[in-house]
Amino acid sequence: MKNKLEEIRKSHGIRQEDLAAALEVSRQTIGSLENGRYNPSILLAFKIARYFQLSIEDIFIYEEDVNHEQ
Amino acid sequence: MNNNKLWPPVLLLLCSCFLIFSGLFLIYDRMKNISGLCIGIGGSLFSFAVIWFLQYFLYKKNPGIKKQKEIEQKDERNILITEKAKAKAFQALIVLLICVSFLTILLKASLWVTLGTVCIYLTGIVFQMVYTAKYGKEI
Repeated sequence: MKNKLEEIRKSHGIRQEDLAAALEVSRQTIGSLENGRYNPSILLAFKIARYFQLSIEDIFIYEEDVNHEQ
Repeated sequence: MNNNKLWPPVLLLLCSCFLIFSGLFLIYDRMKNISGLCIGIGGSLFSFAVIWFLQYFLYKKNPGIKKQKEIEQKDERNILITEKAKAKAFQALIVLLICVSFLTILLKASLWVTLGTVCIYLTGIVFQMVYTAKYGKEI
């Protein structure tokens, strides 16, 4: 699953550390999410979406959707 | 480990001192095996209590560190990594136990030693089956 977390975070001018503190996760988790090495639980996905006031689909892209777009 | 209260490490420290003292002076001549056990357990509890004390004072001085530690402990990725590592370690342990069982046969060890290792192996497998069934119902 791909995501636009890094792009969205940077557009909001937030550091990884601050986002991690706001979501109560470790900074490494944010790094892994941004690199696509780790897929979040549905709870964390909702937390991230609510934090940026976006929908989950705006941040996370299901691989099948990416293939359809191509 | 609850780091908010001071009495649990104090109690642990007293217990450990009592165990070490008993092991060294009270029962040393009469029961050497039990004495060794008391010293071993007492020593472990003593180090555990000291770590507890250090954490208590460290967290009291720096609440930020405590908050960060709590976040690290509850972090879903950290939990996933720990669980995965434990599962892999269990798999490795099971293979190791099979090897040890065969080794005891090759070394012509007593039958109870071989049966003991096989029993530990089977207990592990039974635990795995029980927890698989339990979580299969729960999740």
